[in-house]
Amino acid sequence: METLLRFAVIGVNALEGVALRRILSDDLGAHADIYCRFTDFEPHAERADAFVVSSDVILLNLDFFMPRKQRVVAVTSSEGVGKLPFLVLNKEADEKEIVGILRKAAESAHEDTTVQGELSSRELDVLREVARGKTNKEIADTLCISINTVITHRRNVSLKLGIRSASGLSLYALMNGII
Amino acid sequence: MILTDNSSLAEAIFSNPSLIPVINRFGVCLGVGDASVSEVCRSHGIDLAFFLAVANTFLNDNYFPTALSGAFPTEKVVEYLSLTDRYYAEVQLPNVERHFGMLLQCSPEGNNLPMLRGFFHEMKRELLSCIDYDCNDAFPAIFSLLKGERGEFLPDTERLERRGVVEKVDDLAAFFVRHLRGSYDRNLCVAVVSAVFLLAKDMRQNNRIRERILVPSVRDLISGLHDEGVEAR
Repeated sequence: METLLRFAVIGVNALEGVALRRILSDDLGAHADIYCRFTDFEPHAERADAFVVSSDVILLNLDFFMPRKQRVVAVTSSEGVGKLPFLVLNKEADEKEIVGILRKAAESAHEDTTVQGELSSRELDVLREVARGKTNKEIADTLCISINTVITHRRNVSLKLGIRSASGLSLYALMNGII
Repeated sequence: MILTDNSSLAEAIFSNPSLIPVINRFGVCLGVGDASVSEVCRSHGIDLAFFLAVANTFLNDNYFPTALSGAFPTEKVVEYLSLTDRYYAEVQLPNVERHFGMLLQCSPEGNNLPMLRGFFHEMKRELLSCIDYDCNDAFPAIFSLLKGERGEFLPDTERLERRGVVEKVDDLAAFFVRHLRGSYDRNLCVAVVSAVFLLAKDMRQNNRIRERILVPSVRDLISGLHDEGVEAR
């Protein structure tokens, strides 16, 4: 059974939030969690597949959104965010246009979760530590597992992703919002 | 496909276009007519046994000429690998870089190509550093060893093997094939991917010569100096 995509809708007003939730549910079959502030959303960040966010919130939290840019829709009433590499949803757009933009974000999120879905949670943990530049010994200590287990997880990650070098794995992790 | 002295070089190239850079390194250009490998080698003053050994190692992953190791005199291997290094630095890296630049120029924003280009630049820096080490340190040291002289220092066999940078070129190809995201100019992307594949194959195959022929020869040469207490740098 295919898992529902989860959108995090952040920093929009209540009326916009309700409208977006309805569109995401009816047109895309996706689930939407609505957060007033970024700080409300932050503890739940890991469970979101894609993001619909007011441009103000994005600009204040670029460190978080840039690595996930393919899956971020910036809600704006100006052209300010258009220069950044996000999908832009203008508040004046008609419903068809809004659905089209949200669908693009959903497709990117689906591609990402399909690839990351190949990795187990433990493999993702190891990948995250490799990307932080840790040695096998340091990773073993951090995750409380043996070095041999770290090596096995690393080998499996490399086989699944087709990437062997530490810097390649770091780039993959960065591109996919794993770090 | 195993090349022999009677094989048609043109047929070999038709079957394996990646052989073109290899013949170029021996000073042979396209336009080979119907000549056999031995005829081409004779007309260009190329050692036939060495040419066959290199070409077959390049063409066949499982070809390992242990019994023919006499066909790999160390001087010739070093000369061939020097030409290979020059080809990477002067032709293949600039070729990938040029096409990558055009691909970025002609593609819309919102893809992950800029990140892949950053990875390419990292790989390029590392490969150029390996080439610099070969040309300025390792190869002169090997020639000194061959003359029975103790050079300023001894070559580091791990650095000669270049495993890290070969992994990175393969990773770059994998990023394009498996992890490319967003919209891009498809024609230019084919050009970049083809150039990366060609470089990756060339490096993988030539690394077999490094790992299985050059490094054991260098280890033998160094072991002859072992008693003299010289340390590798």
